[in-house]
Amino acid sequence: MDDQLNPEMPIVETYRGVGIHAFQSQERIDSVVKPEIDQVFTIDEPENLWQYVLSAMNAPEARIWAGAKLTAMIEQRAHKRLPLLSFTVAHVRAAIAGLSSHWADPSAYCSLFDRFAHREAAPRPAEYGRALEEYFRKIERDRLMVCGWRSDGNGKLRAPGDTATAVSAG
Amino acid sequence: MSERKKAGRPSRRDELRKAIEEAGVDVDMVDPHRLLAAIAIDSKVAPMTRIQACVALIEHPRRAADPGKSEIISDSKPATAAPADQGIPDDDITRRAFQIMKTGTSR
Repeated sequence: MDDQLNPEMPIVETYRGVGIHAFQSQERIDSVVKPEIDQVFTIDEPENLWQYVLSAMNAPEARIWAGAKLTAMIEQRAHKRLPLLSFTVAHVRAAIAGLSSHWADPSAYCSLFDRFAHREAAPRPAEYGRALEEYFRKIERDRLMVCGWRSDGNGKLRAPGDTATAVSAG
Repeated sequence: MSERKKAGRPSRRDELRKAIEEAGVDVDMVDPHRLLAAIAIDSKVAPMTRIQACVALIEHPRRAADPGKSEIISDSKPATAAPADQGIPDDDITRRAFQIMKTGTSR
């Protein structure tokens, strides 16, 4: 779902129904991301899926898919009046928050929220990190321009009627 | 030669068949989805019954009459249309997980 306030990561291809993010090499997609998505398809135990979702070592696309699958399992268990698990839908959403949005980490394949708990995420090459930052900065700039912000000619954006406040135009 | 009629009370199946014949209902023409939909929108029915009807409709979306087609007719079709040859399991969990991903609640 596209959202101006929370822009999504662009999808370069869809593998088994799961969107694969841009800003990574085709080699990584083929050798890491797709096998991990395949792995999630084989996991049926909620506890194992939960551990998978938590680990920043796993690819963001596979974690998002695992989170969606886990959420569906939790919903089904609630509907069937089965015993509650040790985690809820809110926990799952928190664990994968930001992975597919502008909160994605430019320096690693995880979200910025993962960085303090997990430092084991695979590093993102600098050129892809710069491209990611540029992509979301452009979206933010376009959004501000629509809201009436204008460039002052020095690479800065100024709010409507505001001559003092300026932000970098990127 | 006519079949000899069994003595005693008619079985439950015979009673049901007789009742259906008297009502003039062709069971092949009964559409469970229409019945569920009628329950779901009937304001005179108990709220929990209506909710259960909605849940049943969501869990069992109408499929095409042609068995060769796997396309779901109702609006609740899988959010991500993926080719069948990609080995995607066709179960409730997987379908619901794709809907969740599509609605963006996993972001």
